[in-house]
Amino acid sequence: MPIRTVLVEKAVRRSPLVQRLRERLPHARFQEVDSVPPASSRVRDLLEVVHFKGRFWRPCPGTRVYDCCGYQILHFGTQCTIDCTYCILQAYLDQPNLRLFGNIDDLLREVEETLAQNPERLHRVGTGEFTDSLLLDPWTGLSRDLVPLFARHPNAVLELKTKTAHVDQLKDLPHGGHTLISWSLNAEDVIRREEPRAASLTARLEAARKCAQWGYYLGFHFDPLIDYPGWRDGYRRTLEALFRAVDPSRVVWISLGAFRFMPELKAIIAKNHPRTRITTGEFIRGLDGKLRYFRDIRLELYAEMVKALRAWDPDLCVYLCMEGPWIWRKVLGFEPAERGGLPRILDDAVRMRMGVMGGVTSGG
Amino acid sequence: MELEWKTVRLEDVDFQDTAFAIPGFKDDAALFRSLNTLGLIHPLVVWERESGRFVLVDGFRRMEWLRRSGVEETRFLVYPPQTPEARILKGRLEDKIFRGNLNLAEKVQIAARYAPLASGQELRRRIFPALGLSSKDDAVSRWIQVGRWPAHHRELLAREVVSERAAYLLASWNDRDRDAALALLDALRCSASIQMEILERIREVAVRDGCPLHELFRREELAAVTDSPELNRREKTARVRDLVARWRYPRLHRKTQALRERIEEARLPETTVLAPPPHLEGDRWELRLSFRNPEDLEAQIAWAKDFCRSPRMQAIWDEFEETSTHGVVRK
Ligand code: SF4
Repeated sequence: MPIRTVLVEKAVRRSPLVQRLRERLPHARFQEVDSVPPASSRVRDLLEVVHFKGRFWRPCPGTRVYDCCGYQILHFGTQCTIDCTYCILQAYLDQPNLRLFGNIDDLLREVEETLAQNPERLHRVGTGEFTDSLLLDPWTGLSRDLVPLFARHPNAVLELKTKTAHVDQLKDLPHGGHTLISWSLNAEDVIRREEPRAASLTARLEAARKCAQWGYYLGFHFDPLIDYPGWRDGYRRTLEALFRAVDPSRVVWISLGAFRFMPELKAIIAKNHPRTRITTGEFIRGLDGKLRYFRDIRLELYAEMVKALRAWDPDLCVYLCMEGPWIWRKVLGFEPAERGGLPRILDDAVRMRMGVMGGVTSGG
Repeated sequence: MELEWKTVRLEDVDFQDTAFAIPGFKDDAALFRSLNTLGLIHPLVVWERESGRFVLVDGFRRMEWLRRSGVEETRFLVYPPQTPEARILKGRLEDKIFRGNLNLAEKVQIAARYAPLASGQELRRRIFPALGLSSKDDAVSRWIQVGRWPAHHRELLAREVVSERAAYLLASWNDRDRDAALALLDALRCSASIQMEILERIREVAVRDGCPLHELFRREELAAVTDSPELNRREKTARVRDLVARWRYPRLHRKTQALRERIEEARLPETTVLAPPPHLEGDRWELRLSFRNPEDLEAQIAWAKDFCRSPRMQAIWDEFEETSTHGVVRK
C-alpha cells in the first residue's frame, strides 16, 4: 500500500478508522489539520481523512430515459488510485486525492436509522460509487463494521464492488448471507490497456472463488463493455474463465453496460491517458446527454454476452445498466416495466438467490 | 537610456535582423497608399546596436515603403547602444499589446516572444488577458507553441484561414501533420465549428487506427475533393465532412445511409417526412404531414394508414432493425 502521508482533520482524529489506519500503516506519516486544504492536482501517496457533514446514504443518480437499478449508495469516501482510463472520478477535479470520511460512527448510525425507518422495504446498498469498495479495506477495516451490520438487518443486502483482490479480511466476518462481493470484469486486452493498475482477471476471479467458499454471494459487472477489434474473442475468454472459476448458483446478478461517458470527460481522458483509444468508438449523444455507442454496437455487445450467460445459467439475473427499454426488448426479449421495473427485477434476484426478505435460496 | 532623435541613413539599418519583427501578414497596399498621400506620421524606432549600425525595432512595413520610395535617410527615434536588448523587446511588445487591433498571428507571436521575459504568473495574470488569449490550464504553453510556428503557418492565422479554436487544437501537432491540416483548411475556408469537427474527427481516426495524421490528410479520397476544379468551397466542405464522418463512424454512417436509401426508395409524397430517431437512438420515429385543409389531412392520414402496412414501410423497418448482431432475441 503506497500511502506515505495521511492528512487527518482534527475533528476525526480519534475515530476508530484513524486508529486502524495508524496501526495498519505504521510507516505512513500522519499529519493533523483543521481542515484538509483544497488540492488542484493528485498526490498519489496521500490519503485524506475528513469529517464528512453530508448524507452518507443516497439514491443512485439514475435518469428518466434509461432504466436505473434503484440502488442505494453508501458514500464512505472518494477517488481511487486504480486509475482506469475511463473513470468518471477524473472529472471531480476539485477533489483529486484519495479521501475517506473519518466519522464512521455517523455513517453507521445513518445506516441503522435508514434501515429501521423502512423495515418493509428491501434495500440494495453499495459502496462502490465514488471509489472502489475494497481498495483500502485491508487498512480501513470498514468491511468489519459494515458486513456484520447488514447481517443484522433482514431487509438489506450490501454489495461491495471492486477491481481488486483485497478479500482476505472478509474471511471470517459474520455476513449472514447479506453481503455480496462483486467484481467489474472485462476482456483481458481491455484490462491491460484501460485498467492497468487493477488486479488481473485471474486475481479477481481467484478472489471471487475464495469469497464464494466463505459463503458470500457474488455479483459481476461487465461494465464498461468496450467495442474494440477482437472484442468477441476477448469477452468470450473472460466469460469462459468466469464459468470455470465460480458456481453460477452463488451469483446473484450480472450486469452489462456498454461504455458511456459525459462529453466533458473526453478531454480529461485525452489529457490523463493520451495513449488510450477508448474515446474513439462510434459514439452518439444519448438521450441523457452522455456519449454512448450507437445502438447496433451496443446490441452486438450485449447479445453476445447474453447468449453465453444464458447458456451458463438460464435463471441467472442478467441486466443492462442504464439502457433504454428498446434495447432490453431486443437483447433480453422484454422491457423492465413488464416485470415491475429494474429495481423489482433486482429485488427478486436478491430474494431468490440470497433468500433475503422471504425468498428461497437456490444454491447456498 | 532615453530615446533620442537622429537622422539615420537607411543603408546603416540592418534589414536582415528581425529580432524585433512581429509580422502581422497584413496587406501592405492600403498602408502604402496612405503613406504616399500623407507621408510618415509616426516615427520609426531603431536601436543603435553598435556605433553607426542600427537594428529596426518598430516600423517594418513603413521601412519597406521608405526603401521602395528611394528615401536615403530619415529621422528615427533611436535607442542608444548601451540599452539592453531585452528591455527594448519588452517595450516593443508592450507597445504592440496596448496599441490593440492585433490579429491572432500577432497575439501568439507576442506571447511567444514575451515568454522568456516574464514569469509564468505575469504571463497568466497580465499578458495573456491583455492579449485576449485564454490562460487556463495548459493554454499558456499551447499559445506559445503556436507563436513559434513557421511563418507560413502563422500567416494562415493572420488571414483567418484557421480559427482560434483550431489553432489551439493544432498547437501541439508536429510540423508535418499541421502542414497537412492547414492545407486542408486553406482549401475549404470553412467556419470555426466545422474546422473543429473535421480536425477532431481526423485526429480520432488517427488515434483509433494508429495511423500518422499527415497520411490521413493526404489520402487520395480527400485530395480528389480538395483538388477538384468542379467544386466550389462550400461543396468541397460538405463532401469532406461526409467523407470524414464515414471514416470516423463507419458503421453508423453505413446504417444511416442505408436507412436514407430505403426511405428514398419508398417515394413518400412531398407533403410527408419520415424521420428515424436522431442518431438512431431511442424508439421515437417521426412522421410529419403537411396539409392544406381538413379533407387533405383526412386523405393523408388514410395514406399513412396504408403506408404503415406496406412493404415499403416494412423495408425501412427491417433496415432499422437489422444489425449484424448474432443471437439477438427477436420477438
Ligand atoms: S476501479 Fe472504479 S473507481 Fe477506481 S479508477 Fe477504476 S473505475 Fe474508477
